[in-house]
Amino acid sequence: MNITDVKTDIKNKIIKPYYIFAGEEIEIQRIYVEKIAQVLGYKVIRPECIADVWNSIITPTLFDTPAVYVVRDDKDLMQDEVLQNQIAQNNLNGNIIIHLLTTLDKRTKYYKSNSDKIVLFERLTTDMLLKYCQRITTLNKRNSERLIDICEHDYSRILLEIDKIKAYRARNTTLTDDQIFEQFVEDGTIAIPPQDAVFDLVDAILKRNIKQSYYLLDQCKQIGEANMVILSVLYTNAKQVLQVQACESPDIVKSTGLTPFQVKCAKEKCGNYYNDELIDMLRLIQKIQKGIITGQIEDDLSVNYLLVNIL
Amino acid sequence: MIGQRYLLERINGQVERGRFPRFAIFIGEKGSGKKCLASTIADYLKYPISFVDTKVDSIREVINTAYKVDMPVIYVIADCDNMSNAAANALLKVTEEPPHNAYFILTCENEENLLQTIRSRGVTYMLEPYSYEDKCDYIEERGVPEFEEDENFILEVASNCGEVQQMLNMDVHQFKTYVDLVIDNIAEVSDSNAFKIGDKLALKDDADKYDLRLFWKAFRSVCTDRMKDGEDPLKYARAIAITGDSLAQLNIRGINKQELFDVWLLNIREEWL
Repeated sequence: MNITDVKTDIKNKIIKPYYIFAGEEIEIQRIYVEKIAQVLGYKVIRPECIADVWNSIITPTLFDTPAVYVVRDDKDLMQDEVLQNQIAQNNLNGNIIIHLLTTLDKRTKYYKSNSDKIVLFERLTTDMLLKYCQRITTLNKRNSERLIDICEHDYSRILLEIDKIKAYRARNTTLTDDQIFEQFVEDGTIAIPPQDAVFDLVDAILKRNIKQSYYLLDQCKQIGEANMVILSVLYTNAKQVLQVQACESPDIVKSTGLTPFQVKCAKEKCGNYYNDELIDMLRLIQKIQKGIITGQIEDDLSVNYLLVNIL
Repeated sequence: MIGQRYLLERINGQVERGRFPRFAIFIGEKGSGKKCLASTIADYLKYPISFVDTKVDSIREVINTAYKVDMPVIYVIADCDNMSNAAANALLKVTEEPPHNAYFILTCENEENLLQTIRSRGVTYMLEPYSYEDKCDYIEERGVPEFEEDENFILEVASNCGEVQQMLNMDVHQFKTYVDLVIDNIAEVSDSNAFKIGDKLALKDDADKYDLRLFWKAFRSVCTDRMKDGEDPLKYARAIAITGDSLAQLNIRGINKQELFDVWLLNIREEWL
């Protein structure tokens, strides 16, 4: 099932008793839930899990109107096949169940038996988000695209950031949306998410750029990059730098067995450490990795410990 | 089975008294005959044997089966050194109270790589070292190499029957030449070229290259010979110590072989330069 099918259901007012909304686009999911409730004239109830309200759903009442029950990541519902069968048999007394899934595991039995009910809400395309942005702000195209990139195509976050711009503009009528946006990006009010910084960190370390190394290490920690990965990438790069730096032959590629691209990258980082320092670095990285594996060195402090010793 | 006399005697006695544990752990280095011993026990007990991998799904499946079968089966979960925690935890349930018709045998190289909770529930059997005669018997059984020199080299380097077999499968003369070449040139080449020494070694489980453990054992053996011949004993003694240290680290769960080899290489070079 895709979003268009749900749209058609809403348009024809033929709502199925059970939907599964999956994907990261929470705001759009919310809009669809509201639309379904609106079309049917039902209220939206958000219980912790379906089991809590199962009696209310299956017991016919004279006075209560049916409702749209929305649950998020209900593990009981995913595992209880009896409950799933009852839902599948449409014994819901006119009630609607919408199960929101944060992550969709296609290997599960739940996915396989309910694949016809799953609607995947993927991130909206840049063009669609651009239309949304330009409908509610006066941001120019370039800044709108930048905002979409900063928010990583997350519609909910785009709306939150636009709210900030609107609230600020309400007090400072002289500034345009574009000026406010640029100011917010500059001062961090609209925060740019940390990017994959491992390779930049490794470059900074091998270029002996102390300040940049610590800054990028913080970035890596913010995005939860594994220390073992950092150490491993650094080891490989440091070894390549040593191989290139120590090479006496004019044909470095043949002599070292590295690819031309690896040699080119390594050459950019040559000359910042003596060969002996690089050798010590390799030894230390290996020692730290072994220490992490055997529990002798605290994982959280491992890269800091390395930087203190080599920079 | 060749070797393991005392261990087999002990196990035989347990089997005769009906006291062989339902959860046993066999510990011994690669090639020491852990799986072969399990098969021998299956023959003693006259039960079928089933080899299981260490994936969590396989372990869960085997546990489910073990409760259902109506005749005794020996389940061998081999090479548990790199077993995930999820798999080990799945196994814990069955180790506390093994099903009536099941014997579980775990094999691993390093006891430390197993969860303490698993170790404490099983009866541990350490495989015995193989004597010179055991290895000779094995070679006799499998076919003696063409040259006596190769046979002697195998007997010096290999410390168990598995390694003897590994060496019988390779061109021993070529392997020895490679080891000699490494020893002669390791300190002569530049830092840049030195790392290429590892190109012929299976640092990432490449099947067609020399096993790192075997290479280090051969390196140690050749160094010992040269030391005995009176060639700069201190130099070779240090190299033997460094190699022994690296060999011990090879048993650490999750160790990066490539990095371990690089550091060994750098240490030898530092010592010999």
